[in-house]
Amino acid sequence: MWRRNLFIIFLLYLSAGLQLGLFNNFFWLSQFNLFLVVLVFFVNLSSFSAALIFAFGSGLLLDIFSSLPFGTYLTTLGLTALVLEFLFFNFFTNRSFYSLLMLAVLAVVAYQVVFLAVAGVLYFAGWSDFFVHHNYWLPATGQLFITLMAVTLIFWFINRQSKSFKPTFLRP
Amino acid sequence: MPRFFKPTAGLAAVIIFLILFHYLGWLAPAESWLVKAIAPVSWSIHNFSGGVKSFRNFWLAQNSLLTENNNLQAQLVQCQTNQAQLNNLTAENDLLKRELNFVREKPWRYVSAKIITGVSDPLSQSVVINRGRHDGLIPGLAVIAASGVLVGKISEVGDAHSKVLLLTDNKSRVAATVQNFGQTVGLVEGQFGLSLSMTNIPQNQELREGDLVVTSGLEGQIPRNLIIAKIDSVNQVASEIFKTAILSPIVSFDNLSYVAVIIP
Repeated sequence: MWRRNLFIIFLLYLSAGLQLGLFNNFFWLSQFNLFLVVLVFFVNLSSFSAALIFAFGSGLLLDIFSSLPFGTYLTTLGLTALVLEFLFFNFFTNRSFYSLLMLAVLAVVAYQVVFLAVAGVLYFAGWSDFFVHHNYWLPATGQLFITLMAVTLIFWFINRQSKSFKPTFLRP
Repeated sequence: MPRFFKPTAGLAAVIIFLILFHYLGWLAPAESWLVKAIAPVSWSIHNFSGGVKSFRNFWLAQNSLLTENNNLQAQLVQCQTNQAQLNNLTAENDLLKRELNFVREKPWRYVSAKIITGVSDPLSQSVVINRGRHDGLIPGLAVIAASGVLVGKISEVGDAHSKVLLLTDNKSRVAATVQNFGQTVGLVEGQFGLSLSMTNIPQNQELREGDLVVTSGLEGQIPRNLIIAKIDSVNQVASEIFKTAILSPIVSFDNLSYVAVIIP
């Protein structure tokens, strides 16, 4: 258990460094969410509780470094993890590449829907100054493609290193 | 469904308690610790990506560098002439002030800060700096780049870190004056992270391209005469009460590493 938790902390630290220091610096990568990509893999390869802990840790870190009211990312990533787990448990259990890609697409959609809903409610309730502007949609669309590329790359890497991603329906 | 109920309820409870603790201030030490823990790696990557961007911009802009160099040399000659005149006027001004026993303006106190990272959300143009409440920072203070140009205002303060809303954010508003004959006043607003504009300029005011825009000092915590930008073009519609000027920033907001916060 402690090894798993240490691994989660290491991934959180690495993802936070890359997300905050690198991706947020470039317009086209600004909406690419590395935490979301790692979360998709947690849902696929690990337990539900590990995915929830990772989502919770990511949300906390993103909230600390965000201009949006505290709790926006905790809620967004927490709900996204629940949606992903539900979809994985009911529809994408075979761990094939295609189901992983589909899960990643749905993760981005779920994340954006929940994020915009939470940010919108906070904005219209007067608790936040920030909401979407006309520049938002271009990188938001780009996020989908960059996420799919990142998932493909990580899938390829994990697939070479371990047997975790061999489709279950092909197993003897 | 029962499989999801327990973790969901647990997660919801933890989130609610964390939000509560955050707004009560009980999480502040933990948040500061987390910022300190992540700052070194985030700062290194932030600086590296800034270098990559500068390199990319250099290659994209190299065709226009020769023309820009010629223009800058001409401007330098003009600036040297202006500087000589300014030195004379400053000396004369000091002499006159001494003769009038003029009370000197209180000098500003600076707190230098390092930009740890940008913020994590895509909805605002902000950065996080490594100075906070413990260094005497409060929301609304002016943040300047090393060259003395205003780049933003403190928007949120933690114990050992603060968030700075950059001037380019579309929620940013700064009271400003144009350094022209009429000392035109207006409001400098961000343009969705891309540029700046000055609004609320009366139609009868004369503005020229290249005029400098500085802070007006009408906001209590922001001293006057801090350089903001220069006028790029003016949009004038005769039927409207006010006109708008499009401004070009003096410093690049993309490659900021160190800033200073002015404590008046």
